[in-house]
Amino acid sequence: MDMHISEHIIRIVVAAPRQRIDAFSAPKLREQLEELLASGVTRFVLDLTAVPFLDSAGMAVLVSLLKRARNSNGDVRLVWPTEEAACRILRLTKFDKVFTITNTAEAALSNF
Amino acid sequence: MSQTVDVIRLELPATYKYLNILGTSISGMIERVDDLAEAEIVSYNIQLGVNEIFANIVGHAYADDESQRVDITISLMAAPRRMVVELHDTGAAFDPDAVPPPNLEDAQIHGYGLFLVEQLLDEVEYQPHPGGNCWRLVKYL
Repeated sequence: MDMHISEHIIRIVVAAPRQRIDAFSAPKLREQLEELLASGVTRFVLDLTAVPFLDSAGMAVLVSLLKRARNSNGDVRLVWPTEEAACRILRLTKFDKVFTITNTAEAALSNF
Repeated sequence: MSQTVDVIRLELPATYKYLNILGTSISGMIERVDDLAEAEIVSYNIQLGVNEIFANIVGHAYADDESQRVDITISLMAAPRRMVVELHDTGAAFDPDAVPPPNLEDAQIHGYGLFLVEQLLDEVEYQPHPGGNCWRLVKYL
């Protein structure tokens, strides 16, 4: 059979913070995500399952990453926090319309 | 809950480092309120609203000068049952009109803080006064 075979490997990083994301911790998270961006990662799953609290500084990190990833033809998918109150905030701010948000990291990976 | 007003006073350095202490103080008081529906949601919402104002004071009123202090009074009051949180600073005045509401149709990096405060709390008052500012946040329980 005369055919050309090419293999495409898509790199997706799953980042799962495990502490509150507020104005104190958000800069550290931003720094870590920017290091990944600088290394060429453009597709991210941010798993918020174990994040007990997310404030506007944390939300700014999510949106900043989304914009930069999409500018590089990538994307950011979120996993819903376990904390119901945090989920309500994501709906209140319509983040669920801007991000694709799934129940598990596996689900996020499967439809990238 | 008794008719007694319970009051906790904090005097925190103007740094984001101790936002967690602010949150813990609020959740600790809410835990002691009897028969509160969706207590965890209510607690989270108050914590988030107060967190945003405190962060605003640190970043704007004090321009990240960590030598400054923020006085916080958290009160549980009866008839009607409510939590009142007052934050006092001696920094620059805040202009609420200078903060446009976020465009929720297009995610943005800044602008959610005051929006969340107004959405999550029942009353939000800001009063500049000579030598400082006072925020008063109320959530009916």
